[in-house]
Amino acid sequence: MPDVTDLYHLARAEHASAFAQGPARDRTAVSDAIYRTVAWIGGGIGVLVPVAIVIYLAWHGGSALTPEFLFDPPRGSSLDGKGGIWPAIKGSLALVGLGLAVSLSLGFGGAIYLAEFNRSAMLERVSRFCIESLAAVPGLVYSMFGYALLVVALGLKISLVAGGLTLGFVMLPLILIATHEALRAVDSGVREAAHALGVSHAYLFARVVWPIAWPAILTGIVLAAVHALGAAAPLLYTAATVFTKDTLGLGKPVMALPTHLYFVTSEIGATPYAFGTALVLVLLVLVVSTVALLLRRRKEV
Amino acid sequence: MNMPLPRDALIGSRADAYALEARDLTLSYGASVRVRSATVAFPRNQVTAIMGPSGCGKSTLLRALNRTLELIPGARVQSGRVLLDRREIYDTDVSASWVRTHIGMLQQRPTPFPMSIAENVLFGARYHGYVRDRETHAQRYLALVGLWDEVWDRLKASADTLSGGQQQRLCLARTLAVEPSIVLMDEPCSALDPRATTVIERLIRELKRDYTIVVVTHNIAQARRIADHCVFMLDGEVLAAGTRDEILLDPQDPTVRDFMSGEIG
Ligand SMILES: Nc1ncnc2c1ncn2[C@@H]1O[C@H](COP(=O)(O)OP(=O)(O)O)[C@@H](O)[C@H]1O
Ligand SMILES: [Mg+2]
Repeated sequence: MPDVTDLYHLARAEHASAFAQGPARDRTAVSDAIYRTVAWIGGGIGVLVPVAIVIYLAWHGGSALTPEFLFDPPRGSSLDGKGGIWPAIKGSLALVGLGLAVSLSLGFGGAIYLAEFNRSAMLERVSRFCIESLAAVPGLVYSMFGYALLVVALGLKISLVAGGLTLGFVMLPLILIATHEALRAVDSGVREAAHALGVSHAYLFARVVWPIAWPAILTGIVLAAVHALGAAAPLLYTAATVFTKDTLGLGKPVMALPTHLYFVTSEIGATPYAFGTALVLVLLVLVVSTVALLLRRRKEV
Repeated sequence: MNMPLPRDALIGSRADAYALEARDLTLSYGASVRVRSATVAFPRNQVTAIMGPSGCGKSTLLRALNRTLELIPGARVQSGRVLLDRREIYDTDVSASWVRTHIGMLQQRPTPFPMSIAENVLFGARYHGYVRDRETHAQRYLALVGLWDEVWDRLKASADTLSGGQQQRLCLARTLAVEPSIVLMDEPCSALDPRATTVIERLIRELKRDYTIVVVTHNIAQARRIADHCVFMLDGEVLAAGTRDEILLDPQDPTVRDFMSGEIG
């Protein structure tokens, strides 16, 4: 077995010879270059894919975007790709709006309780585990759950209200988690300083915690809403109808953009009408995200 | 317009501050006792330094003195009393909010709130209804901490735009604006550079004319500069307490002597 001093001298010798060879083999520079390349490829793909999708949709569906397409109901009696998609736009907005009302009240309530009032680490861990599991449930399972509970057991029938509530369940975990994280991220020293001034918890929350946390909460809400806007599966058994010229009503089935896209594409294939529908859906998502971005930007200025 | 307030008129104009006293105080997190039978007196209008190595329970004791310890889940006062001028602050008919307004606290790191400089100063005072005129109230306490001359022309700017030392003085102004009698400070200079530290230390020495001050520090030199009395803690127990010179210059306890000579820290 070599002696420790032998190893030491060996290492010294290697080091000396590497030094004598000069700085030619610069491992740091090589690894930096590799890192930069990988980062650029990853980032580039991340930017290119969504841009390519929008361009592709605009290329194929742009010609369909006429005022009639946007603001007329479908014509004829079945899905033949004629007329407009106005009922689906209205339906989607109504479904997501209803879902937001449900998920915001439940999600804020739960998150504020967990972050501000709960004192049991056990309860916090268990609730977070359940909520995170809920977030991982596939949309179709939500749909079956909504069907069994809302449509059948509660007798709400296939309707706007049943679909809205189901979308509310889809958004609930996303909003609750985002809100909980944002509230937890508020510096504990800042909280303690406010408490130490003898103010009430409500005053502290409204004037210190909320102003710090809301941009992150808004981001969570937008992600949840955009997710719900594009989700067809939760609506399939709870709210969606293939075709209606009727006005919106809480108790009536509705058309929605993602389900409409699904029905149309399976019926008549990838036509400009179908691409146009997809394009409208994507543009709606972009508008919502942009508005949220501007709101947050205004706060930073 | 910048009308300098005479600071001399602001300091020394209040009635005597209250004294604070902890008797046989035992504090725990969950099942583990972290401060055991601490008995300490904090004389009125004096600066008392609490010293001791990291983790010995200084912050825990400090939090128990203004009832912020109970905000931490699991933390509790197992036994003992805290007397604010002979009134027991843990009595059931005494509210935590009342205690905290009379016993203010300054955090280790500056904790500006997400609002303007003026709003920061008025934060607690407005809640308690002390503010008759916002501008004069804000000016009074900014001047008291020597910040008015530096910020009078940007009171509406966000508090984040101030330097660390300025932020710490802003937090002190915010605490003083709810008119406490006692101010607790938990290593108030540990996040500051030497210049800002000097400013805070000078403030502490001046403010004791009007307040009873308790400063946690593990800096012996700082204790020498600012303290009238010293309390030395180790592993949750008060090992020694007395005047500054008794503790710093001529400690009787061998452990305290080792700490003061830099053998343990
Ligand atoms: N929130 C907490 N929960 C459990 N233990 C804590 C908590 N805060 C502090 N402790 C423990 O209490 C002891 C004293 O801590 P602390 O009062 O912060 O010490 P110091 O301020 O003197 O450095 C330490 O052993 C620390 O680990
Ligand atoms: Mg501490």
